[in-house]
Amino acid sequence: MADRPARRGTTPAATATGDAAAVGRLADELLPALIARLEASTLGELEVRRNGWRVRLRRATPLEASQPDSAGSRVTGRPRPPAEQATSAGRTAPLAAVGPGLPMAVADRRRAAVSPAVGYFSPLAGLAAGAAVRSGDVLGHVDVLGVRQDVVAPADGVVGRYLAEAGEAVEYGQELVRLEAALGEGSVKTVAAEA
Amino acid sequence: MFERILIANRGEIAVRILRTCRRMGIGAVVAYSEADRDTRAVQLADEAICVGPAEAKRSYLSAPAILSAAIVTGCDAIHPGYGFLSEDDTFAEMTRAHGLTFIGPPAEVLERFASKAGTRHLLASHGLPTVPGSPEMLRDDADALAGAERIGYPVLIKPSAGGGGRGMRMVRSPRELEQVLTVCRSEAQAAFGDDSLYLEKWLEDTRHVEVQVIVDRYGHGVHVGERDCSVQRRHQKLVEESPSPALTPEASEDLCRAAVEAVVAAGYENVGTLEFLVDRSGAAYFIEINCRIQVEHPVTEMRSGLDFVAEQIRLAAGEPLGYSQADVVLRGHAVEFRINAEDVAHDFRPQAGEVQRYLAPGGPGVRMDSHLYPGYEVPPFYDSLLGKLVVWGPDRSSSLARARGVLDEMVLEGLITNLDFHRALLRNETFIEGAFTTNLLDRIGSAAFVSSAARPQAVG
Repeated sequence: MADRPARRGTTPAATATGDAAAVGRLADELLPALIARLEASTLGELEVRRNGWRVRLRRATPLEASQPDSAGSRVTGRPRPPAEQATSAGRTAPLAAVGPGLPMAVADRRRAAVSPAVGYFSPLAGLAAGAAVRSGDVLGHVDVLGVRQDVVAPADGVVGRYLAEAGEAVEYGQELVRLEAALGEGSVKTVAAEA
Repeated sequence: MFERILIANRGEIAVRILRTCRRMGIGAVVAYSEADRDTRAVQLADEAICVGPAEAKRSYLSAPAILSAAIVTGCDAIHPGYGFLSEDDTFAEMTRAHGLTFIGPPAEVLERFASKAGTRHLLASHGLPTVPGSPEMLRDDADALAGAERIGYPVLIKPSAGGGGRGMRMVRSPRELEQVLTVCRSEAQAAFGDDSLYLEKWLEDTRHVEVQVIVDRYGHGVHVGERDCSVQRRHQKLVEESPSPALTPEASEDLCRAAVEAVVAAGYENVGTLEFLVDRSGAAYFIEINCRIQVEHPVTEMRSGLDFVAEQIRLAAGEPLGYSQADVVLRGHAVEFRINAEDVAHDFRPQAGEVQRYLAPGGPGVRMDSHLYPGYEVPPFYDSLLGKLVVWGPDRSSSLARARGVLDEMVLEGLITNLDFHRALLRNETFIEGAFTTNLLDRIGSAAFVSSAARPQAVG
């Protein structure tokens, strides 16, 4: 994630008028941005404090943190070589929103467009890294028995890396296009890394 | 033979199919829903592919998702297991249209046996007895009385448009029949907008007996004996055994031979099961056919030494059966206990949660088919089957004695199961005598059954 522009320190604070607005903003803007930032760093933990509340993000497990793209290479159209058939741990990729990784995994999906079905992926022609997209925009298709299903942006953002190639076999829920989100507003400070 | 099979199912049957693929040297890809990422079959598979969300309609029941998964993973056949798409003729046809093989009967065979009423007609024409009833809708009261006289009381009055037991009424005499006919008509009219009625013989205290058959596409077929599935609650089987304690060896032989002859004549193909109701007099009535592997197939595997998943695969690949009835040797007695995550004390409410401790029983004649492991989280989205304990013995009393021991030995903690129900059943006089009927549990109440059986055990 070296292609991500580094931002440091604080961003201008906005005036939150109520808890509901604050929580909404937290979920929609700040969390995805913070997660992106945490992932782009080597930090184990990030904490944000503002007015009466604070948010702390911690990496789920060292294993998950070290293999963020493992889901992208799980399906192939060809039989795997025997050496690879023996392994099974790699197939339980951290897409599942289970256990301690839950908040992170859920928010994580907000910043990658995922496959709506099992099939062959094709990116949208002309769409390249750096393009600004809105939530709901079509970023590509998955061909299911000849029927195209849309891959849509889960949130506003900037197109980052493609995690699957044109013509690649993909499974349901697989991350296909990374989205970079603009940092939300609020005072951000980093705390000491734990991992 | 196939090179790579997509297993389009979950739980214990996915593991079961995978084991046979391994033995036959066939690659196995497991299709799974998001809720089944941590399931045993996914861990064991050569490759695993997520086909959809937890909701079965969008994963295990989605024909396009399953078929697409088979294609992108390079499979040449699909094993549907039981339930889900296993008897879906449209799916079987789609599979063939994409150049893959559906492991089960071909689409046209599934279609021929899809309708229950149609199948009863078809197999009756090939000599199988069906539940006696009026051949047409009742014209008037006189027609009804004549029909009931012919069938024999008690009879069941059934609305043509009804289903699931709604609007049915049982009568024991002509006088009773005359009294309720008008009421039944107006009730049927009000409930279904159709007042046509028909009659069926009321069978009291029946047992559920089914015959296992294997038929190839060249007209060779064998039966592999019967199974008795009379321990049920609300039509859910809990325990299955073979042979049936209700049939003499001669009656069993007659029933099984009639069953296989009828399905071969009717053009059935692959592994299948014919279900019968058996009344107190021992008369058997055909009710339906299951065109798939069944949950309780290990009972018959234990007696015959056959591998039914392997037979399904072989026959679907076009191989001939390769043996005859005389080669099928059934030995001893086998019984299967369905271990479910359900609360017997609270109306069999399904349970979900983490398996904290799990220790499968073992020893001679003991088989445990399960997908459990300690730490596995049972998801709330699917059926509650955790595994099947199958026990064999040279005769019924020895297999039940063996089952008593291993059920007591088995450890499964972390969520509520029906293990105590099975332990109680094995100490129940009616079951030990082999006199269970399908309505017994519903009549006496399962919770009462367990607690009454638990009491003497506690003091003894």
